[in-house]
Amino acid sequence: MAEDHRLAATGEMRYAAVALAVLAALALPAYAVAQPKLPVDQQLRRVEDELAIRRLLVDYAWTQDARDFPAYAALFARNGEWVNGTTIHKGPDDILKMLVGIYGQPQPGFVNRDSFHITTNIEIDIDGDRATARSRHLLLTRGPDGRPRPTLAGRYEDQLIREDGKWKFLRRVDTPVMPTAEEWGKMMRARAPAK
Amino acid sequence: MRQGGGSMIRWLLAAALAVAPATVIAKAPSASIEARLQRVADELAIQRILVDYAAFLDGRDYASYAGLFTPDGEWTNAVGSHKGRDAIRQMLEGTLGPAGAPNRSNYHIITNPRVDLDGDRATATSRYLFVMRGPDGSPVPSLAGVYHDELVRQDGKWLIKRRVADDIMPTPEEWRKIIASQQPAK
Repeated sequence: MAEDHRLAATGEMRYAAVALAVLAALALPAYAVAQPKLPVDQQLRRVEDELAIRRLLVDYAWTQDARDFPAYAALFARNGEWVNGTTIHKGPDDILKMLVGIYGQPQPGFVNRDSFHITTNIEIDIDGDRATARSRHLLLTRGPDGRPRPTLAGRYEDQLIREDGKWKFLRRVDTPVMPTAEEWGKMMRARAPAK
Repeated sequence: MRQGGGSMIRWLLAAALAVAPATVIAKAPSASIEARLQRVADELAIQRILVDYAAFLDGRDYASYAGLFTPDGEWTNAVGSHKGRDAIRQMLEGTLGPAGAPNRSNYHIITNPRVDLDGDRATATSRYLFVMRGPDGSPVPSLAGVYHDELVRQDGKWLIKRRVADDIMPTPEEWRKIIASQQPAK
């Protein structure tokens, strides 16, 4: 009796599963067609947004490498956060101060010939006036014979916001992958006396 | 009751009308769909040129490489300048050898493209990283720099009017030393 009941239950479940599959099969094409059918201007908007955000990610590297701190800080939203490990700086003013603290004020007409970042593997997901992005960065520095040497690699994870019609960083989390923060510190200390 | 419903609908319509234009103005760019699409297409077409340049250069396809430039296009770096497609082709043949030769010993990585459009003109900046085959065959980052480009649209096609290659590292002196040190080993 209990055995029969269980069998009946399995039978019902199977029936329900088939019914669900049929429903899904019927519903899917409609969903698949309905999903991308945004009005043309909205579809275009997404493409424009993606290009604008790609530009933002790249501008970050260009302004950092050029030591153009005001332009770098202006890439952040009014409450934008710069995060690296436990260090957080909030708002363009605070971020600007941090940069001057790290690098000092550059000489007028400064051109950086000692280091640069390349930004790759960009992934962007847009949701209206918000977006998230992921990318990788690779810092190359001048090696002993002048050739560029991969020095530091990491990941960026971004929350972005459209503020006054422009995409900005609402939160950028920089996660060094290699070397580790400890290894990096060791390398910096080892290099310091040699210079 | 009907009256109430009607005024409610009228109120909602009025509210929607009052809100909609503000939202549209704040959110949607003012240019026409066609103009906006053109900008997107232009930006992608120019990004493609930046990468094609490296593909043709590394593939030793000098005709296609020169074809990326306007007939009076100019290629410039710290060493010299070459103007016109023939001059650009000759420069490539002189420095890299015959066209079409297989190349498995080096290539360019192009990153960080910035494109700024202005109608039928544009400027672009990108980074290049030249990677060479090392002594044991592994790829060695060897030369890095920045391309500064002026582009124009001619007969509906974007072309490079002027490209300045700025070698960032190593310096030309360091580069000569590196090349010289590699010669006897070969």
